[in-house]
Amino acid sequence: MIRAGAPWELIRWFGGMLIYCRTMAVFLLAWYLAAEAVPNKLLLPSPLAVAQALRESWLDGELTANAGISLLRLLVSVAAAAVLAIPIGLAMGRSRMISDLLEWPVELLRPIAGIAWIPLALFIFGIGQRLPIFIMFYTAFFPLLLGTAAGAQSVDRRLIAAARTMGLSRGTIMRRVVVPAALPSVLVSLRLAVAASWTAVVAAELVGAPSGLGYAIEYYRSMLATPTVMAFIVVIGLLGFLTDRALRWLGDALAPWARTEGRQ
Amino acid sequence: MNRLALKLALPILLLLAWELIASGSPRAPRPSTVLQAAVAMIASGDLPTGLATSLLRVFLGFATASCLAVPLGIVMGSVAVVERNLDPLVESFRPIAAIALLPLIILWLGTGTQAAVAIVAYAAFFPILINTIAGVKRIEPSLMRAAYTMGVGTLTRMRVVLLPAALPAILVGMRIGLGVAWTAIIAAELAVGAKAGGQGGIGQMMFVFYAYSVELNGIVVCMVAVGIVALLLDRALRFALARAVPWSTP
Amino acid sequence: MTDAEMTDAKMTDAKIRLSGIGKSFGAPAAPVVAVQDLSLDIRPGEFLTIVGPSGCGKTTVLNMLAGLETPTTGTMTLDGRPIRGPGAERGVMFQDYALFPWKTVRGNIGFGLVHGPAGAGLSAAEREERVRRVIELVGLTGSEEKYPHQLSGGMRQRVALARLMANEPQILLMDEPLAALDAQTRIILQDELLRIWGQDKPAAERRTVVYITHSIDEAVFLADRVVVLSSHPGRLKRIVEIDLPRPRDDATRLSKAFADLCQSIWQSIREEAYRATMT
Repeated sequence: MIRAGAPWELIRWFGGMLIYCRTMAVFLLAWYLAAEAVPNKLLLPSPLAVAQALRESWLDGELTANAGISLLRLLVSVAAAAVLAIPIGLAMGRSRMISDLLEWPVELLRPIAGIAWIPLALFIFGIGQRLPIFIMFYTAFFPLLLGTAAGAQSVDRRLIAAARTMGLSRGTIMRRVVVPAALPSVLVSLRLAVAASWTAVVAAELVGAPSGLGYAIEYYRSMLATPTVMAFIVVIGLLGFLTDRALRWLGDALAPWARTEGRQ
Repeated sequence: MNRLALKLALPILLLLAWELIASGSPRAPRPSTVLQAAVAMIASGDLPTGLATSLLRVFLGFATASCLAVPLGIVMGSVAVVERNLDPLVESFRPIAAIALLPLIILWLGTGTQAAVAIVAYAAFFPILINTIAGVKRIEPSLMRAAYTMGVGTLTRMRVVLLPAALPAILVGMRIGLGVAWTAIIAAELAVGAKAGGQGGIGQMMFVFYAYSVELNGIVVCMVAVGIVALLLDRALRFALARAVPWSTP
Repeated sequence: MTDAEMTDAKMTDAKIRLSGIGKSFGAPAAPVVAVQDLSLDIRPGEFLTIVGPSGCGKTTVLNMLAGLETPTTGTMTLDGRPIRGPGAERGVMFQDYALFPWKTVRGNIGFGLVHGPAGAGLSAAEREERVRRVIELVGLTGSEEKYPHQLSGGMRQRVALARLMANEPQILLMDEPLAALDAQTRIILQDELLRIWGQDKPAAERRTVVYITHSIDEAVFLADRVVVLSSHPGRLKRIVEIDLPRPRDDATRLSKAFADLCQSIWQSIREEAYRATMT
């Protein structure tokens, strides 16, 4: 909870925006001049051409369609990974037996990047919906599992002792103490998982899907439509940024106590 | 002893189950056929060559990224004006995954080592930069002031106070960056492999197995190799971290 | 425990009885003895403080009473029944308060009532009323919706005390609850603690308190009896009856009797306390 004076916050925000706009204006100008200097427009289109391409793909609905597909895949695969990884992670964090049992399979599978599964997954699933979803699920699963396990394991022992002295049952302690205490690290790992998954979607769609943002940039590259390629790259970056902001906001809303505590 | 048995139980069980289930269909890879393929691929030199190519690209890209990101991070971390003005650029480019830039980079640099190095450098750049900035900003001001009051000059102060104090964070950034770089090279080689041309690299090898010879055992061998290299790279940097900063407990 | 012993415990009117309690940690081959052969009767409604130099096992004794640790030797009974594990009739206030960071002041204070057996049989309105009352009692009105990290040390201490009171345990176990506070706040909270415990009320209406502290004047000021432990291993050294009249206040702190009692206890542990500073 930051309760500094509101006008001061506002002035700071405007100052930040001003600097942001100034820096980006300098960058865009440099880009524009560089594009003027390069004779081959296929290699480096000017920012104006990219903006024009962005507008066109927005107007004919292609942008929203592809972005929608990629975002939906992200949502489905991360949700599936969370449903599976969070309970297992909690169990691993609270039971040494379960964490011993799962340690090696996890440690052996985790270093194999989700992207390295693409050729095998192409065999199993073929080109289509299921391939990117599997790759993204796999990519999101391990950060969530390990983050949850670490969070559940490092719950302050005194908090559990306090709950025990109040006569709480094991199940209630799990629900009312372990889960909320692990929540901040679950939320942090969720952000990591989504970021990694968003990287994987581009790779997976680039190789093995007939739709989505990754497919679109590869398609327009083969058409040599560089401005459109760049427009889609901008969209990928923007959506990655916005999902991260949304998750950060969600984290602050769900775990308001963890926000200022981390700063102290 | 009991714990070790518990740890080994599931992996052994899973491998056995895989062997049994897959033995039904002749083309499906199983642990035994994968092992045979691995031996053959190592003996023929294909696997070591592929790994060496990929690793060389990673090291070149990683070194480039480190040489750019560490000095820039130190400047951004210690001079507030520079950080304020460059931060919008960093925040704008950071969410763009290296792989998304692949089509552009192929356009600019082709499908060879140059393109691969560029992808790796871009991927590793941001984790190193962000951690370096954070590490420099976290330094206790009293440390710098203490050196100042002892009459240590600005450059010396940076070398003997700022750098060692920020080193743990820089190395953490490098560790993350190296992991990301290894993933990025696989992705890049896979995608380039799809376009054919270019030479070598473990990712490309996997794609060739998929696209031309339908050799599933080979693909699994490559996956395992990718995992082992990732693990070794991480361990190596963790070891370096422990050696270089004995006063820090990461 | 035999039936005869059980009757015995009841007859001597001990709320809690420790007989021959010992606790050691570490490997069985080379154990570290924290507490050795401690026997003690705690009377109902009594304010008992335990002092001793660091390393005397004060906290271990409290954790055993709370049921968080089991003694290696000896028996502990509560109302004649052996203590096995924690129970809601024994409330604990931890040294660093152990407040739930994700709960507001109100949520922390109501935690045991909502999730534990302490609130069984109470309606939601009754629980709310109880929480409101203790908030008022400890002087936290107006801070109900704050999180622990937004509070000062003294305020957190009040929350922990209120949480303890809200559950209305028969026995209050307190582990250096004022140790982290500055000197002025300590004095104020000592006075309030005695008021909340009920030093103005007849003895029969008071709860039983076991209070750990390393501060001798605090121990003397609060207690009916002070238990002095020696260190390495923790052993019973002395039990001092504190016959200062109640209610106690600043006049008590200035009295000669108070100073004499403090001096007497200091004399019995000073040598060990000196030694403790060297380790």
